[in-house]
Amino acid sequence: MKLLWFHLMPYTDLPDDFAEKYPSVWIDIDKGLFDPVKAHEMYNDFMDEVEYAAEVGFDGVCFNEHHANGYGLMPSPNIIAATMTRRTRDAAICVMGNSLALYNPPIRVAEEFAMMDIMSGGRVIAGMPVGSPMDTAYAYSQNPAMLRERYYEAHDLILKAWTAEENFDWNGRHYKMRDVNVWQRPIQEPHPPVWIPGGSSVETWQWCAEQGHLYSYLSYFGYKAGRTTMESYWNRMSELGEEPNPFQAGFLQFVGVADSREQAMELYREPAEYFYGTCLHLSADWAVAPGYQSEQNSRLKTVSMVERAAAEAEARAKANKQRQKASHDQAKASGTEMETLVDKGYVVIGSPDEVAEQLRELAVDLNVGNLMVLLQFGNMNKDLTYYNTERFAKEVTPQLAGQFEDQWENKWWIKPVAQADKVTPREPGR
Amino acid sequence: MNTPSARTVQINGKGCRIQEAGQGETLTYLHGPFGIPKWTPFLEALSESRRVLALSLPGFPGSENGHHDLDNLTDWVMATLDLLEAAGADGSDVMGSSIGAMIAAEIAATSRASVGRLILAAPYGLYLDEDPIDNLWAKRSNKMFPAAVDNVDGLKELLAAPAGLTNDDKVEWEIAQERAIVAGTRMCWPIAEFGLIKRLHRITQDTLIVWGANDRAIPPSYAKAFAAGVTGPVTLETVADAGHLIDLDQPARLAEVVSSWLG
Repeated sequence: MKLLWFHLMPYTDLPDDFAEKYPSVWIDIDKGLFDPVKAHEMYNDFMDEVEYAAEVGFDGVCFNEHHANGYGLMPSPNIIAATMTRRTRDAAICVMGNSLALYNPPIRVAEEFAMMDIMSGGRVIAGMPVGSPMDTAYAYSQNPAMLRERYYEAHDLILKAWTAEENFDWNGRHYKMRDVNVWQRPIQEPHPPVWIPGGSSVETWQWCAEQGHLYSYLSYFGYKAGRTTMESYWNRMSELGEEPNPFQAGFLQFVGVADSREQAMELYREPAEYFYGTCLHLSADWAVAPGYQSEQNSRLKTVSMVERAAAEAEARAKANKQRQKASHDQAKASGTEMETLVDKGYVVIGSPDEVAEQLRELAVDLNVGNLMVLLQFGNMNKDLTYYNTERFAKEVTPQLAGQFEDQWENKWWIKPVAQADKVTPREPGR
Repeated sequence: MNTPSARTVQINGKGCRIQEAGQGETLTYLHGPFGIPKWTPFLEALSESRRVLALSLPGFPGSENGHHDLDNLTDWVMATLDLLEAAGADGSDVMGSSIGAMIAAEIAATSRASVGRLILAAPYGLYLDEDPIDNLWAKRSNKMFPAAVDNVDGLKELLAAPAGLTNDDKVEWEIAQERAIVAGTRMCWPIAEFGLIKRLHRITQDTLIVWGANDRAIPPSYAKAFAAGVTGPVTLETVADAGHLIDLDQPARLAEVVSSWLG
């Protein structure tokens, strides 16, 4: 199986009382809380961490796209990914943005992915999410009732731009273009693998199956909560007559490795509680937008990941208020203590063997051949991130890497140029 | 009470409902953001003195999901013109509320002969930088309802499923109310301003502009901006104790204002 190292790039210096004092980490996050000089350090630390992950042998490094968001500092993941084309050599560069409907004309996405694919020697995975309501309808004011139409059309246009042998005109419903020519076509033929990060939408699964794309469920709520979604995905795939090839699925999991479960609990408590208590302080005001979800999903009462996160944040705030009323104790937001996060499976922790066992169970149970691990989360510092990353790579990866490999063909992985054809960037000063 | 008769016409291949009640001169009514889930006391009062044709726009309760085919304001205006013609109401007096008033103003400016006298109850369609308005469709119902009306309980009652529906029908009722918000979103997100200010001068019809004194969706200051832009003779009225959807908050009072202006 493939193990990918995912960085959300969270702002690590939100105030302790953020969840009590501020409305939300997303959209209306207080502008005064952002310090660009601190962020200079954060971005550079984060890029060091990603480069380190590639160095110690992760199969891929992942980035995603968020706007006006305190736990995701990459409005343009392409900018970070572009640096990785020079600073990593073999790892897949998995860009789990771009939200296609945000870019007009969308061939900009085709061009940038193609550039990165060429620069990296064919190592780009092209993630194409619809994007959350926050990112699309609110941060970018896109019409949520038209978003999916635009998204599907943009997708078709981008794939045609990558594969067409001649210039073409595009008289779409939403996009009109003459002489489309993405001249620098990607190295990977016919195009980089397309991964679709999505929620629990039946239509998305069906569409992924039709297109032959990979579906990936990026949840912050771990494998226990993800089971229902992944089961439904595979059931739908089976109904559609698709084989259950685990490499056609991706899943995100928070992980903390240490000598023991007890030590991991201690080491990762602060960053995990910072992420779930502070970073996921979402407002339900921004978690839904009319028409973002199809009527079919409304009938099924599908709840998206961000909606769930917002509902949990709201419940926490309410519980907190009641607790503060009841006593003047320093109330800790309910549900975000490390013990709960671990019990619920949001964060997988333990010794390397314990982590490997849990992740193997996850992979088999959810039938997922691409596991994206978050080994930096919340305000985790660089040293701990390196530690977590190194221990995972050296002691967990070897226990998992062979999974699925001899049973299934991986048709959703990068096809880089031969080692001999790879260009080595010049070292500075030489 | 006049029970309205209802019929369905095809607009772009999708059904749209036309409800009719009362006798006399025709007044066509274009609804606000929630559509006409139930026949309202306002329409009832209005139909006492004239023939009321209440059109349900694509995607709104009573009509099918034709909103999926409407991509811009021109599409909405054309669909409404088609609906007006299908109702046999072309050239009648036209009243709109909220987004319905925006469409009514657009139609009056685009196709003058289609509209007799024009009644605009708190129309969308302008955006004044010095007095900006919120995106109503971006609000959850706990904030949207108080922005739309003074009488939130009345609105909730209007939107509540009628007694006696099966569980499946209840779900479909809810979906239909949700669809109205989606259709409005499709029409208005993120700012319901499509250049009407440049076309207002083409409105040469006799025009009544009515605003709720407590409108929290579009401040009453917008009434002046509309009045200043319209070329035809304009009457400005304010209804006390009413929010944005005057016809829901003060049905009798608004019906009286409208009826007496129409004469």
